[in-house]
Amino acid sequence: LSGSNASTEVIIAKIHAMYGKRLTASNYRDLVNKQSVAEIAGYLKTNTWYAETLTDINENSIHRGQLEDILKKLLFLNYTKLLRYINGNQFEFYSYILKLNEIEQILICVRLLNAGKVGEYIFSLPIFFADNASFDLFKLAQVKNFTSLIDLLSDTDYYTILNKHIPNEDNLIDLTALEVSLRTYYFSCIFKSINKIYNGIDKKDLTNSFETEIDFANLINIIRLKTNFDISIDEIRLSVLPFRNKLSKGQLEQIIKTNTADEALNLIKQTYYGKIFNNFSFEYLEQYSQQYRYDYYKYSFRFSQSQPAKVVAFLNLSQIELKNIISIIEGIRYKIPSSEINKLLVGVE
Amino acid sequence: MQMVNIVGRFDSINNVIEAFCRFGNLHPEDTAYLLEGTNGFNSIDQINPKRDSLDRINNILMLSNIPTIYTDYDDLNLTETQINEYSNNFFNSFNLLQSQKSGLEQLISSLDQAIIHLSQIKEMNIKLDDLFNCKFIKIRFGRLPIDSYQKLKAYDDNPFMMFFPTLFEKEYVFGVYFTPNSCHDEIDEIFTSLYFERFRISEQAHGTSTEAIQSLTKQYNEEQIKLTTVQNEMNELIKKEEIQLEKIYCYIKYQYESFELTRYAAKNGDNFYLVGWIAEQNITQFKAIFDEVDNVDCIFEDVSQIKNETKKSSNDENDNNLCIKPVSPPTLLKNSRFFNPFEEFVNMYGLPSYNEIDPTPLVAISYTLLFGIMFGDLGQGLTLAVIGYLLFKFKNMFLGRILIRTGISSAIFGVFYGSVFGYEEALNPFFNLIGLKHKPIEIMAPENTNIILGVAVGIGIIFIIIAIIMNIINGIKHKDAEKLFFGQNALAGLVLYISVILSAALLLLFNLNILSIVFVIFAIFIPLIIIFLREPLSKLVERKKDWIPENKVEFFVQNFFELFEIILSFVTNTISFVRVGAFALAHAGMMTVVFTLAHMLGNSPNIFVIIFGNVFVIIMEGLIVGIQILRLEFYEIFSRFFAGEGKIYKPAKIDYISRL
Repeated sequence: LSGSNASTEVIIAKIHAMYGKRLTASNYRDLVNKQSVAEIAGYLKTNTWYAETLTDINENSIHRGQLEDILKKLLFLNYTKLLRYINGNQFEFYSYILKLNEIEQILICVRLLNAGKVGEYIFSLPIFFADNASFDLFKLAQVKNFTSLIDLLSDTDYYTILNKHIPNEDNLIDLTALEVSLRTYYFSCIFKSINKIYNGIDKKDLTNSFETEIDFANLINIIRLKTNFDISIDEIRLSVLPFRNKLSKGQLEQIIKTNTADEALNLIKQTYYGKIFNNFSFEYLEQYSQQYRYDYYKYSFRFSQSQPAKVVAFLNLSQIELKNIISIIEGIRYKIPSSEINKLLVGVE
Repeated sequence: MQMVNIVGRFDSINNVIEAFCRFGNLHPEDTAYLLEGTNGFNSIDQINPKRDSLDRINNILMLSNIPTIYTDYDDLNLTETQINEYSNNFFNSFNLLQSQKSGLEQLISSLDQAIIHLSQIKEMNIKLDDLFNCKFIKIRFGRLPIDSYQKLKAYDDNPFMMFFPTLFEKEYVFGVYFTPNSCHDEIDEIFTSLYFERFRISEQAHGTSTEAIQSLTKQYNEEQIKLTTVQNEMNELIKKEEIQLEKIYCYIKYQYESFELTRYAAKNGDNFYLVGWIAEQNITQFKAIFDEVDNVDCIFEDVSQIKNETKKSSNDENDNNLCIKPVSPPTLLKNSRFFNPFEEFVNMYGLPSYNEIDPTPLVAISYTLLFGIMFGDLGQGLTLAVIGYLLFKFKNMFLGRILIRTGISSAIFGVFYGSVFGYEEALNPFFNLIGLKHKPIEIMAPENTNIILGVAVGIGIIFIIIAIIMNIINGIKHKDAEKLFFGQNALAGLVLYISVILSAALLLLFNLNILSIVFVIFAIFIPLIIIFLREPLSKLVERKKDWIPENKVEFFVQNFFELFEIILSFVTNTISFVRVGAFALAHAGMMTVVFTLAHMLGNSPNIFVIIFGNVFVIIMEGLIVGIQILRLEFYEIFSRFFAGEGKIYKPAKIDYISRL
């Protein structure tokens, strides 16, 4: 085996071994029937692979947020474990997870600035990520206004983006516009690194994977905005990410221009993604989107011939599992019946 | 297999469901789906009324760790209200004990933490009450998650955030913080948001630290005893009520699943219609049970009567025409005890359709035979059989039953090869005793190599011919001219294959050339032409008008290449069986290597190398041979006659085991 092939084999074996430990349908069934966060923590600690990080916690006194933080930390640690097997030249691509986390932190901070709760960032600060971020997260916790945020990020690529979103007199930052700019930057970086590092099947599968994610995110986003918000067509257009895969520019524009969510849905049904939207339910919009992501990444994980595409699929499947657990924790915390919690779960099999 | 049409008044449907659960051999079809397009028939899509009751009892069983098994509930003389009352009472008693248990666990845990804390300040030797009664400051003992502890540096500029760590653990930092009375609300809130777990030592610990540790340890032990008592009470409660709860569960589960089974029926006004399948031998029993159900009629139809096209019949109650979608009967495999473990291999490929030959007996015979030939060793074969028996006995694995058969076959061929755990001469005394000069088959003799490979190909030829004959039989059953006469696996293919093999065999073995012009024309050329023209010929026999291909050039080019592929597949499929002989040789070869290695480590053969070598060969070669034969079955044999498009015969039953 050549060096790179050996590393490919190792990483494929590693992600398969990690995926093999995923939660089963019976784990999910037991979890949704638990009565408290403590019971969930206890179950995860004794019956699942999460035991390796939960061994030392006291499930009787654990807080919901603390449990969620631990699970998020584990997800990130798994990613860093995989990085050990990545060849140096591929790191530029794989650092997309770091960028995603950085953007998430900036958006949390901006949301708190808008809400006037700047001091609260420290509570959600992910310590496990602090050493990997390209800016000081502890300083992010001390940000008092948008200007100090921009100053903090002056040495990073985010500086130019944030500079375009300086708030008006009301001091409120246009969060949607900022989010679109940051996500556009994020996907541009991904596509740039894919084009630079990969070719052949790797390039094809990776590009397809991210572009499909964008297509679907755009469609769901349009339906969400048309269903839940009284928002103009121009505003919807601005909230759409400027990338496409299986949707033509005309199709997307027509969908944006519709007056209601139903009309948009009817047009979507005529696109490449039509079949997927046949049993669409407005009530479980988020789950619908997650279900599609799950199906797509599961297929990619099993059948893609590309090693990086398989890794991306694995990371996404792990993230979906984490979302499932968080849904269960929150469902139980807010006393939602187990039959309703079940509807929030994705990929239980 | 017979199709049964059950028609009756909708208020009798529960009796029907009860009857067919008792009968246990009816495979129901989704009738509403089959009748889609017929006016008036709808599916039954109400919410199951027993859903909540089942959820509740499932929850109780899960909490009390009672397994879901079938328990006879005929003597459960309780009304719905009494069942609910009983379940609620049990749930309340259990919950009371459960909350006592978690309360005690929490208390024990907090005592444990308090002891840890006090141990850290043992040296200070001050009165704890003095410490907690300070006038201007509050003292909080507790622990912070390690991540939160790191976040404290963000409060470096806050003079009132004072946390003093006393003990570092992997995930937590134990310690104490002090806060002035004037701002303790704000500081407490910050620490709470950082998931600080406070231990209220002040309520439990008095005197000096050493005295407090002693008193808390005493309390800790007392609470442990209380916890054991509560646990015992819970166990006793479960033991006392277990059977009654299981009965209630089975009763509710029956009602829930019965309702789910009604969904197979279609509803039309006050009537229902249900279609299902039963095996011929169960019809008498079925009639006897259904005769007792009032307001219900059953009409039987033989499979041969059901055409694979939309059928129309008249409904007695309504004058609407019934349009039933075509539906194929399910397949129930019936094989003898020797053959039936091999059904799993067939199922991996696909289930035979109702009127298709079940290939299980062929698989069973060929698999067992080929395994013996390829892995012939008396000792290793018997070892495999014993392993197979243990896997079957303790794990109930179908592979265990297959291993028993293949192990015995391997042992029988091992006798012919004279091989016991690789000792090739071990059976010589036995052969001498029965009057043989040497063992019947000398695998490793160079002069035998070609014979072994040739015999392997010969066995392959026989299996391929059997596969073609089975396809011809399927052709007769399906009344399919292409399968019967014209295809590569029909009579034309059979004549071609046998002629070529025969002429080649006679030429090579006896130097006898039978390839006369007449033979070539009738036995090779004409079958080839028939195979080439198989599609138009079969259409012509079926009297279809479009038998002449529209695009003749395309037809010629496509069929020319297909014919080329067909001839190639005959050759490769036959040659493929060389592996049977090759593995027989490889097996003996690998054991020779094991013995050579065993002799290399000293003057006498090393027994550990021989044992390890045998284990290695049994595992590795056993696995490879097993997979290779399966490959031969699926590619070389099945592809000639077996479509595997059947659906499994799954009679409706109440599943008491799975919780849902």
